[in-house]
Amino acid sequence: MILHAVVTGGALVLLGLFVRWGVRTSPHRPFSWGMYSGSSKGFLWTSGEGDGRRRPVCHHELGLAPEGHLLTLTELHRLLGTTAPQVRFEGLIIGSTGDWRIRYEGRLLAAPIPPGAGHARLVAALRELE
Amino acid sequence: MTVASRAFTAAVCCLVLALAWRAGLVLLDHRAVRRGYPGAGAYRVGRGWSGPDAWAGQCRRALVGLAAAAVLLPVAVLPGSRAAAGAALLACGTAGAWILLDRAPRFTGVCLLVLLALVAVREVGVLAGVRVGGEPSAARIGFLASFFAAQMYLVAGLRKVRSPQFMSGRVLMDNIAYNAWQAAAGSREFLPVPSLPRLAVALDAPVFRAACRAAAVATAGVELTLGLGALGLFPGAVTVLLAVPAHLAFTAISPRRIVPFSAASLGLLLLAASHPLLSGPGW
Repeated sequence: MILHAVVTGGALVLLGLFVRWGVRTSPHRPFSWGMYSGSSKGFLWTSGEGDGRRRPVCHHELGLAPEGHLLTLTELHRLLGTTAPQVRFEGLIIGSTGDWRIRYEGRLLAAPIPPGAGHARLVAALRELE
Repeated sequence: MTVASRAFTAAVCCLVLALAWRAGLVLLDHRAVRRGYPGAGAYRVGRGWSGPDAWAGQCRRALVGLAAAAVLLPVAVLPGSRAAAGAALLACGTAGAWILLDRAPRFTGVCLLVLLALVAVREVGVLAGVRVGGEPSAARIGFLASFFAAQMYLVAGLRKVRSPQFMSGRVLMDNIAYNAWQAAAGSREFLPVPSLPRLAVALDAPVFRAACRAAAVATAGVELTLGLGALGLFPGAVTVLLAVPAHLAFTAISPRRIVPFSAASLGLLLLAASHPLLSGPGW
């Protein structure tokens, strides 16, 4: 019984330290469990159909793998530098690393959006897609 | 069949589902890239460009993972068989190698590796002639599962509590908006709900923002509760009854991609609930 109590107590202490480490470490490390505590999403559209109508850009047009749903400005830079897609697009990146207005016409241009204004810009973009 | 044996069978079924689904995702992605992407290659976030050879290699490894999942299935049906135990041990090692070779494991990969390790520990016990499903063996597995499951849910919950973006409901709003956007772009991964016009209305509505905030607070609370439940602070049945609808709700955020993680974490929780840490090591 005493041994059980000692082992259980020791395990609880170890667990406490493990939890503390997991909460404080980089969210990209194993056992950090940072999924969905933050996010960064790309809302990209193109008007390149000739009729000027806007539509959302598909993953395959960018060369972005089907699994790629977390998009930061840094990753978008890397993606476009690697795949150099033909499609011209603009859009928004909204998330934990900040909100950005972007445009791509062979070269990526990005401008920060004031904090809290990302969703208002997204609503405006959605209305223009209708 | 004891409670521990039932929990183990259910956990193995969850593990098989997680592995098979994960392999299926790789095969589906490969098919999509091969058919619809210029150069039959694609950029993978955090990993860079993967050309046709890299995708083909991934596919081959996924098929091995799928085979490992199939070999594990008899273990769920015949938990005491030594032949099944030997095959299961091999399958655990193979599936573990697949996960480690595929990429540096993060959430799903780590959860799968922990569950694979626990199943492997049990099968070693079966091969060594330890009493199958008996209290000491099952207690040790449950004790370890409880340790790792508690760490997972408590850290996940605490990280969310410490994230202003999450607790304000913004992460949920962003995900709902993104899912609808991707569905409108033609992605079959997400449900086309809400439609883009309705999404524009919702994002502007204070009620929607308040609902997302409430859902975020509830999510963090549920994860912390599951962590405490995994430790044994609540009856196992209560913990499992809370976990199942919670994970079903999480699946709505990413119906296709989150299934392996949900299945693996549920499997870990089932093992934990059968003999949680606060019950003692069971020697």
